[in-house]
Amino acid sequence: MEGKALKFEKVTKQYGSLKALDNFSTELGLGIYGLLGPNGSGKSTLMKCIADIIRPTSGKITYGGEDIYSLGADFRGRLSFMPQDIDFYSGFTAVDVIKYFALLKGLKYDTEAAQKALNEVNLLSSAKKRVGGFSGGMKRRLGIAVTLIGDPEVVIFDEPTAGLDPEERLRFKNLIREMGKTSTVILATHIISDIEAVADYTLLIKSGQLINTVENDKQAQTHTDALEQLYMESFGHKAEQEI
Amino acid sequence: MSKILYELKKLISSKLFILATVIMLGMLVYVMFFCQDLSKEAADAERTANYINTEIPDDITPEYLLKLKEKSDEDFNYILQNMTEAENPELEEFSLNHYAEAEALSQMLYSGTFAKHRVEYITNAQKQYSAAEQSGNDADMRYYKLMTDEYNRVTDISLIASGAAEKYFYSALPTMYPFYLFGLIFTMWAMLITSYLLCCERQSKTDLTAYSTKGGRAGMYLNKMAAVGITVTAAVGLIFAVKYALGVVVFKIDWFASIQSYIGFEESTYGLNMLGLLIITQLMLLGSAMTGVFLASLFSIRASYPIRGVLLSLVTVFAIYRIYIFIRATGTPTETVRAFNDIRVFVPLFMQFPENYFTGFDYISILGFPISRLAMSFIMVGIIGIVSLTICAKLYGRRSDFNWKAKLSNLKKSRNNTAA
Repeated sequence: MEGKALKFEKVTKQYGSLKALDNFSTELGLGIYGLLGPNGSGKSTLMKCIADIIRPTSGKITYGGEDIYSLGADFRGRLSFMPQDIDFYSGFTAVDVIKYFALLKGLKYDTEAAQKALNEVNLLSSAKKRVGGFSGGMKRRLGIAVTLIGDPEVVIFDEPTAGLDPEERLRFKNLIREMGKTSTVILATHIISDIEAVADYTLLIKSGQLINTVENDKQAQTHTDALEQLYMESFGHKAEQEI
Repeated sequence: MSKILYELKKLISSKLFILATVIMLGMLVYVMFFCQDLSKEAADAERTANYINTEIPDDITPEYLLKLKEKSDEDFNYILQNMTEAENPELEEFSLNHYAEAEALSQMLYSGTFAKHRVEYITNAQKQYSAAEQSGNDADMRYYKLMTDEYNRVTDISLIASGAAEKYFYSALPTMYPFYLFGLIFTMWAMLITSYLLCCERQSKTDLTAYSTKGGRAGMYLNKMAAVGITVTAAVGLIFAVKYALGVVVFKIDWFASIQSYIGFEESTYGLNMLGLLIITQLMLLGSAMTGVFLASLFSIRASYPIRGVLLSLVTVFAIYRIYIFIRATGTPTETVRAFNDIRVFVPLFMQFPENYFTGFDYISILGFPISRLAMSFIMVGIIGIVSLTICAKLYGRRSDFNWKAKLSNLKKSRNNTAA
C-alpha cells in the first residue's frame, strides 16, 4: 500500500443501544475510495470519526501507525472534510472564505493564492462577491476549493457533486482524480456513476458494518452497471427506494 | 488578518449584531436623556451646592463642620417640634419661607456628619481592635486595623462641588436606576453577541469543516471569546468617552474633585477623584458584561440559536439569584441587606446597587483577611471567567488538544522531519 495507511481496527460507535458503526475494520492507502450505503448505514458517522468531530466508542483509527486522536491537531492539519449541505458566512467574500480556512488550517494565503484556489473551481469571477448571494452549486464549488487548501493527505467528501451542473461535475471528477494520486480520498455519494467514474475502490456499508470492498477497475471491465447491480443486491428494497 | 479579526468580521457583518448594537446605543442615549430629566434631584443638589459655596469658607475644618451640624441640629429640632402641630399656620409659613434653606441644611447635615462619623468610626474601630487583641482574634484585629487606617487615610473633604458637577453626578454616574437599566441592556447585548458567535458555525453550516481543521473546536472557541472581549471592551471605551466628553462639554464637571465632596459619598474610604470613579464604574460595567459573556458561553455550547443560549443563562442566573435571596432573606431587614451584600460580591453583576461599593467601609473578611467587596467582585469575575473558559475549552476541545506532552512530542517530530 502506497503512502501512509488510514487503518480502522474494530471501530464501533454506539448511540445508546444503536450501533452506528459496528466493528468496522479496513485499511485505506493512496487512492479514491467510494463509500456506498443507504441512509443510516453509518457513512456520516464514519466520516465524522475520521474528521475528529466525534470519537468512536471502541476500536482504533490509526494513520501511519499512530492513533489519529493522539495525533490530534497534527492529524487534523493533514485532513480536509467537506460535509453535505456546506454553507459559509454570508457576509464574507469568496476570497475571505479561502483566506480564513487557510488560516484555520495553519497556512497563510494572500489574495493571489486565494484567487488561484478559486480558479480551480471556476469561481474566479466571483472572488470578491459576498457568499450570501451565491447559488447552492457555487457554495458547493467554494466548499471544494476550501477542501483543496494545503494539499491535504486525507480528504473526505460527503455528497460533493449534488447541485453541480454537468460541466462542473466533470471538472470536479478531474480534480478528484488528480488528488487521488497523492492523497487518500474518501467519497460518499448516492450517485453511483460518480463513484464508478473516479473511485479506485468502493466500500459497501450496511448497518455500520463493511460488507464488501470492490476494486472498481475490475468491475468496469466486466460490465458498466456492475456497481449499481451490486448495490441493489447488497441493500435490496431499501436501496430501491433511495434510487 | 488574524483568526480573531475574522471572528470580528463574522460579528460585524451580521444583521443581528447591527440591530442589537443600535438598540443598545439607543438605550444609552435614552438613559443619558432620561437622567438629565431628574429635575428634582438636580435642583436640590444645585441649591445645596450654592448654599455650600456661599456659606462655607474655603478652609473647611472638621471642627467647623461639627459646629455647623450643631446649628443645623437646632434648626431641625425646631422643625421637628413644630411638625406635630400640623395645623400650625406659623409652621406652614416657616416651611414655605425656609424650604430651600431647610433642604440645604438637610444636605449640610448629611455632609457635616462625615467629620463626626469619621471620628466615631475610627474610635469604634479602635475599641473593636482592642477587644479583638484581648481575645486574640487575629482576623478581627486585621479587619479593624484596616478600618482605622482607611478612615484615617481619607482626609480630602474639601466641598468644592459646583452646581454643574452635582447635576452631572445625578445624570452620568452609575448610582441611579438608569445605570441598572442600561447595565442590564448592555450585559444582555454582550451575552447575545457571545451566543451569536458561538452558534454561527452551526447556523452557517461551517461547523464540521471548521472543527476538523488544525485549530479544532477549542481554538475556535478561544478566538471567538477573544473577539467578544475586544468588542465589549471597545463598547465600554466608547461609552466612557461619551460620558467624559459630555462631562467636559455639557456639564462642566471637575473630573479631579474628590468623590467625598459628593453627596452620598462623604464616608467613602476610597481616595478617588471623579475621573477615577468614572473609570472604575466603567470597569464595573465591563465586569458585569463579561460575567454575562462567560455564562452565555457556557449555555451556548449545545444551542443552535443565539437567543436560546441567552435565555438559558438569564433564567439560570435569575433563578439562582432569587433562590439565594429567598433562602437568605428571612424577612428581617438586616438579613435582607446581608443577602444583597453577599450576592453583589459572589454574583458580580455590578449594576445591582453599584453605589454600595463606594459609600462606606465596604470590606468582607475572607479567611480572616479583609478584602474590599469591589476588589472581591473583580476577583469573582476573573474566577468565573477562568472556570467557564476552561470548562468550555474542554467541552469544545479534544483531550489531545490539552495533552501538552503529546503536543511537545509532535512538535519535536515535525521539527525533525523539517530538518531531515
